[in-house]
Amino acid sequence: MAKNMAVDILLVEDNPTDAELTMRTLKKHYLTNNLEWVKDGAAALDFLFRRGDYAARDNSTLHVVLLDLRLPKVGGLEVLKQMRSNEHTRLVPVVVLTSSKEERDIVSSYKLGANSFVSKPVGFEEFAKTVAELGLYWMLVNRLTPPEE
Amino acid sequence: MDKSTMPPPLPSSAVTGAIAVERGEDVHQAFMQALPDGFWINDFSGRFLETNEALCQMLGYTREELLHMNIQDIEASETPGETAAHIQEIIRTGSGRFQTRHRRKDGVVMGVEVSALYTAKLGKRFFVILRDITERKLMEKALLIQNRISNIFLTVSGDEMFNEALKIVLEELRSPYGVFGYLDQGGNLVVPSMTRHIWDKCQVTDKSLFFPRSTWGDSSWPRAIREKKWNYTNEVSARIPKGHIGISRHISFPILFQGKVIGLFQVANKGTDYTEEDIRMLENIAGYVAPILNVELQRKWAEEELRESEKRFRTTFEQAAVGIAHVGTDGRWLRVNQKLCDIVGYTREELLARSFQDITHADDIESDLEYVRQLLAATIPTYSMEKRYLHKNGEIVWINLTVALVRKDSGEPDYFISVIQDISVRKRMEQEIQQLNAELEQRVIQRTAQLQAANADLENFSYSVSHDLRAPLRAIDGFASILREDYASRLDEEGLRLFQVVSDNTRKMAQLIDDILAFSCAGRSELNLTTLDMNALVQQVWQELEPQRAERAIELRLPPLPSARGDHAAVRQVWMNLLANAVKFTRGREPAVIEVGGRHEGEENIYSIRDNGVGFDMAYVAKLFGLFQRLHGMEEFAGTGVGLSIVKRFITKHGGRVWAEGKTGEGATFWFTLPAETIAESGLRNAETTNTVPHS
Repeated sequence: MAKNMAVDILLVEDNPTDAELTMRTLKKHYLTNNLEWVKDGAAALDFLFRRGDYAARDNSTLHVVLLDLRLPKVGGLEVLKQMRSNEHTRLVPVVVLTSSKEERDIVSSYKLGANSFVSKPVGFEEFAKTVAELGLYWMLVNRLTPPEE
Repeated sequence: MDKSTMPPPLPSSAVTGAIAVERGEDVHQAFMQALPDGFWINDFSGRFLETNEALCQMLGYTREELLHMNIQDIEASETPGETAAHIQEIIRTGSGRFQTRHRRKDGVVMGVEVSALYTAKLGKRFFVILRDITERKLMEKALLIQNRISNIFLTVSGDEMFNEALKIVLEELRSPYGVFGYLDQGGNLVVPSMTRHIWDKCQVTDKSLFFPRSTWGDSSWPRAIREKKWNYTNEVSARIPKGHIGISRHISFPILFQGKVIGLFQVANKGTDYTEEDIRMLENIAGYVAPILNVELQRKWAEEELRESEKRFRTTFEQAAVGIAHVGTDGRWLRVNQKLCDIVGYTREELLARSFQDITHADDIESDLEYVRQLLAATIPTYSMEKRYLHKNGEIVWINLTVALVRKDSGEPDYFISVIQDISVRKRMEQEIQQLNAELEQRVIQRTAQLQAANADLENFSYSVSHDLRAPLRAIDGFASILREDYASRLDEEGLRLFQVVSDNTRKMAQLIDDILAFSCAGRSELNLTTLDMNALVQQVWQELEPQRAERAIELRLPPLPSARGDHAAVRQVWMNLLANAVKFTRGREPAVIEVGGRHEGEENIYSIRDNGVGFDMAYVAKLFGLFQRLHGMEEFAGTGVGLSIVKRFITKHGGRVWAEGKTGEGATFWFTLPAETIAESGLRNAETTNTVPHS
């Protein structure tokens, strides 16, 4: 994917199979045209803060960040924290999509400003259903904050 | 000498009359016999010419005997030539009066006063009036003795006093040997005085001045003391110890004061027999000695008591296991005991030349002086402090000091009494303990850190399990599904079934992971105790179990339950697991009945859940609450064998107990207890100590 393309879904997921399953599901619902997949927190922050490879990118079309918590380099909660304390990303919707069902993860995520917390079901059927609903909701139902000029 | 007590000298007219009497026999006789005093006439050679009845009575001779005697026969003067001198004087002056001693017929010597008249005209005759002055003599003598004894008691003290007094007694009783003793407070005889040369002569070994009452026996002197009565004998004593001087005759005389024997006189070996006169003499002396001796003894005992008390004090002071000192108001040591010297390493002399300030550690002087000020100002009665002295060798000595102030009668501060206890050993031990405690604390910190690290590891492990074990399962299930979806046309029925097996097992694995995490969480989570409405809780859980109850006819019996104190989430989980079990294991029963119960008993609440399900064999009851323990086949009832383990873990954490009863085919009953409120608090503390997992 070209680095300067408009991106509406950012998938932050280090597990390639999870990523593949997620993208496959979204694809089925035609939601992956402008999806960017990064494999760690550092890359996610580069993308979001338009650093390095992503310097020329446009942020305005980003509908949702699907954020895993356990990530190499920079953890998901840290990514969330930095997003929320940055002027340009603080209003970007973030869905924490993780294998964890731990209460403390849920609490921490919401405290740091996550818009939603979703545990990945182990069964593929439920997983596919959940991801599809998520994608449809955030891409089609939810309305973004009007871009600030 | 008092003249009024003496018969008047015979007037010259009386002499003239006497001559006339010679002629008038009757008148002469009447006059002579009427005289109360003895009367005689003797010639120049001393021969009795005439006597009266009173004289016969006095001397114990008949008139006839006397008329054949000479005045020398009754003479008993102790001074030779004295009588001759008296007679010469009378011849020279015509009359005279003097005192001398006469011996009676029975040998008794009596004191007499002689009044005599001499005339040459009447044939050189002596006219003599004799008056018995034994009584008076005795009185005089007694007075004299009293004076001497008073003098002794006034001027001499101690044993010397007894010696001097005894000397007088022996002199007066003309006895060479004697004893003057007193009874001590225990009633024992103490003899401070015994005739000195006897003392030296007496050969009795172990001749003691002290005669304990128990050793007295019944010889004459103990008898005298016991009977409070004198006794005497003029016979040689046979019962005397070997080596003791021979006793030929003796008197034992108790000294009584107010009816009580307080002392003893003994005199012995007078040249002649002891007589009643001697007894009277002793009686006299004893009567006079008694009150004085009593005063003397009382004083002596008071003195002894004081000495004893002082000795006790000195002993206490010196033998004390702690340092004791008297300290002047300026801080100078006035008096110190040996122990204090030992503690600080100075000799007594060195200490007495110093003040307490000199040997007190510089850092402790001010606080000590502050106490001293308060003590002097009487704002505190005493004070105690731990402080340091500097030992003579320079080392620090830790002591515990207790100080009191002694005031003069005027109220003015006199001196301090200080008690000094060496606490160096204790201090050293305290320091060691302190050091040990510090080390221990350090070790606890290390251990805690280790424990925290271990907990963090466990935390990470659980976290990994929840994340990392699920992901591969999802991949297996996901890709199996994709395969089935994308390649469905190429799979036959068996192929599809096999994929279903893969899918089912990943689900089971996922459930297992969830349960393990829940169990691990049950051990780690902190209890947050609140009062729980158990009926509400059961009803809520029952609602949540609705999916499991679908298409089932189950009667839930729920009477009012006592509310409990516990962690909401944990107790909810307990009800959830137990009720879910009951629902699960009553499958196939029509109707299924689940009965919940609860009652307060002692210090705990007991809750129960009874069902009429498949039950279990009591032989396996021990396994029931074990992790991953299942009593039924997977085919029959699904499950991971974690639910009851979690129940047990939560209940145990609350300080409660859990148990079960069952019978195959007839249902099961599960009980759990939660402590009543007061004890729940300690349950909370236990929970806190077992839970150190920090929240991120």
